Amino acid sequence: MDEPQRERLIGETAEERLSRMPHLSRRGFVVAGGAGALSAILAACAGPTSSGGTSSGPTGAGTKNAVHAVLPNGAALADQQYFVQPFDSTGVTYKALDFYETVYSRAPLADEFNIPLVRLDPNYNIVPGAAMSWTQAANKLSWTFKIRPGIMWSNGVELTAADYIATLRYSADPKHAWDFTWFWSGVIKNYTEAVAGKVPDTAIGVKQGADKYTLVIETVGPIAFIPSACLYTTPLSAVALEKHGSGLYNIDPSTCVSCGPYILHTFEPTSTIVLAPNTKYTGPFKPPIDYLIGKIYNGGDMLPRFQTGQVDTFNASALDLKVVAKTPSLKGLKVYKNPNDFEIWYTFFNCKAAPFDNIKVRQAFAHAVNRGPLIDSLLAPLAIPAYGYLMPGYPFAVTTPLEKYTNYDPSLAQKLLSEAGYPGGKGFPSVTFNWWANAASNTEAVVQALTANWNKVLGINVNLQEMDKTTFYTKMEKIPTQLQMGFVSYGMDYFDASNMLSVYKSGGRHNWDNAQYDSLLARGAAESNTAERQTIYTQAQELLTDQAPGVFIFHLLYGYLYWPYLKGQALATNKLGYDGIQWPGFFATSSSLTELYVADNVGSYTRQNESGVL
Amino acid sequence: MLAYLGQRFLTLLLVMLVLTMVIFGLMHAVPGGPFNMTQQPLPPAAMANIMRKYGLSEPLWRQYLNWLWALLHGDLGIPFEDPTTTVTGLIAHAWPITLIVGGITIGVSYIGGLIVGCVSALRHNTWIDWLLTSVVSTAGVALPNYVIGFLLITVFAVKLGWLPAGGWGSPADVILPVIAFALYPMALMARYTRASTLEVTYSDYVRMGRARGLSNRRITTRYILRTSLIPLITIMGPNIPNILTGSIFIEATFALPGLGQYFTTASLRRDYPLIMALVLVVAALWGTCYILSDVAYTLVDPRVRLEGLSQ
Repeated sequence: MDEPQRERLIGETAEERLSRMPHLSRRGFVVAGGAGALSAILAACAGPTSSGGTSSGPTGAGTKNAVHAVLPNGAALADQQYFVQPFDSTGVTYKALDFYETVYSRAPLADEFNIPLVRLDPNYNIVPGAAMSWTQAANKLSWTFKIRPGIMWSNGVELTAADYIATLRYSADPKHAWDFTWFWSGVIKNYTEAVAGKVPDTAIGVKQGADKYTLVIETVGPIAFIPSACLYTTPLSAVALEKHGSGLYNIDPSTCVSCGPYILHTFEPTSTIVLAPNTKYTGPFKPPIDYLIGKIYNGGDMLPRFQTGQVDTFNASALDLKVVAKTPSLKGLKVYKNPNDFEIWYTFFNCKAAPFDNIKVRQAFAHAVNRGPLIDSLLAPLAIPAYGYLMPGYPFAVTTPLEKYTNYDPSLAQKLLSEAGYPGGKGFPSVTFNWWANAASNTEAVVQALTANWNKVLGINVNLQEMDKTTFYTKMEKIPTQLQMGFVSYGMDYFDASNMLSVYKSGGRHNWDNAQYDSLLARGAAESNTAERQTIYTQAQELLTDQAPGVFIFHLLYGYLYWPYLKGQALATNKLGYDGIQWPGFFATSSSLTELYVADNVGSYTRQNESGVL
Repeated sequence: MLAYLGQRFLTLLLVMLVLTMVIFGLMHAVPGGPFNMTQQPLPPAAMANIMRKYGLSEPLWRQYLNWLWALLHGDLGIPFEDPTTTVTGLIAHAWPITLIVGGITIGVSYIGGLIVGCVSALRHNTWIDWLLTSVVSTAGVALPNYVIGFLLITVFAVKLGWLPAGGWGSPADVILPVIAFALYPMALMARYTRASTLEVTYSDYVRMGRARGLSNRRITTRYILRTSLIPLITIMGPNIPNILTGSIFIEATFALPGLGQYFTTASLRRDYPLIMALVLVVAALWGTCYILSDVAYTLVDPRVRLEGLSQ
């Protein structure tokens, strides 16, 4: 950007400003001088910022950074290769930096100190990570992963199967009390028993194969989705785990051990987390970005932080995008959209108590939701209608076959309610619709719109009740559930239909039990043939949507803004038409890590100088 | 005086003990625990492991006694939010930030409020009075501090680029939070100061002073302002703990890693040890400020005697 361009951005040229300047009286001069002095003091207080020139600055193309990645054409110098991301800590806690220490309280920039067995590319394909290849045994009861040799931990020990074994055993240790044990329960052999203390954690089905580079995962039965689930085989160092007794060694820079391209520099979980380059890195995936900086905010508005160059990117809400579109300095920025974790927002019912134990009542509710106008008015452009539980693009997701079960059809809805014994809504008991506030999905407005529509179309009385999230989840997951109906979301854990669809498995999150559905899920999980799996999961989705244990409302899209100095294939449009950094994000579990860099036009933008942080 | 203070602080300790019992019971009566926000329900064995690890599998009365015993040994426990530190460590880390912002806010708002209130009263029914009363006092009371915060960020950080939009680390980070935080107490102070000063200005003894030919300056500083200060202690005292324990709105708006946020997050996350510690902090601070307010009355009003009150 040249100087005239910059001036146009802020609305006027220097000549125009000069021509507008009034002739100053003595008093005016004193006032103006005072204001100028105050401005100077304030500007001095504001700290260093890098506000750049207009053209491409010095280039670092062809040079190597701290982890020996060759910076691509158009890259800025190595000292500009840092990536500042904001994180909102509202409602979450940050205790650790490793998946196997805690999942729900992982801090931002977690899982960067290792290499998982597999990774995801921008098109959501499973690609090699630490494992070069993987095969299922002929009897389909185990998977063997071949780990690439020569990857070293920063403590000088080589990454081998022993690290994955120690980590998975640690996760099953009852004393560790890991908060995500359901992930491997019923998947890895003896895992459930080890968590319950019935067998030692050494008895779980994770073993070394023929040599130290061969890892064998034994399963409870034939399970096809193990490679997808192995995205979350982010190992701790077996030696460090043994030495420290837990994975918390990774939140102290003096004890952090990494075999990934980054190592801990600063861990202040209420304000800043900084990862520095691991100069001892020997792995194959070398990121151009040297430093990762996580700025942690407990609420507040992210847009001004982005505008003032405090952060390089941010996750924009639909409201933010409206503001951006009207802000001269921002409206030229490209808005990137992708489904992130393929989140669905839906209404669930207590299917074992009246009135929702009647399938026709549930179906009536499903046909009384007009998704299009609701999304257009409240969520656009960051949502798409949900006619099934799986978002289009998610493995084995179907949409068209499901629309007939859940399309907006007020006449059919009224007919179903009448057949259920409530003609015109007469005799239908007053029900309570519970929800918790979530700004990103505008839940407050959405639940009001849903309620108004149900009451209007069906002639019934649905009342809203807000709860805090902990109370909501506690009441929802009680057996029997304490909520008549509620509005909730689910995002995927790994990229396979077996994950998302398991939410409605009998004994799972909601109290809808269906043996046929359970059987389909079991068959789908065991089936290796992709076409056959598609058939099975299509049947499962049709059954789930037809039975309507929930009404699926919308799939959330995430909007991202990046300053234009961030470039690389990591932001490119994928085969589904989504762009920006795709799930699972800028992590070791994603190929995006090696495909993002700070370009040499960085000097044209106001960007906070992070030399103090680094 | 010492006997009076001893009695008051002893009473405060008893109040705090009862308070801990009530709060302990209440926070366990609220649905949900610190580990109930998992996406999928945990297997019962896994949940039992977690409850055992954090000492939550024991009967409630024993949990309370364990907490009390630890407290008597100076141990406030380990926060569920951050088990890598202690509650004491977490408070020691976060509170100084709140105290810095709060301390400056108290200074700015109290001194500013006194000046604005006095000037308004002494220039009663003039344009200065109108300006100060309507703009500073009314706007300060009517506008929530987070709205003021967003306005300040928009003007001084986004538009002018003079000050950071938030964060903590440089002296400039204090300016906008203090302005946003100070406006309400300053406006409150100004309104009470104005009312109190006006009331004293028209009292008989001031009129008598004027009749005796005392100078305006002497009447204002010696008789009006000193007397009008007495009712203000009632306002100033209780506001201090409010400000010194921080504001989640200010901290969220300006990204300050202070203590204020924990008052909300600890409750929402059912972080029992942190909730108990914060209750103790607030109770001690409020109790102490009320006691000190009572003492302050004796300093500005010779008619008040604490010994008499305590009897």
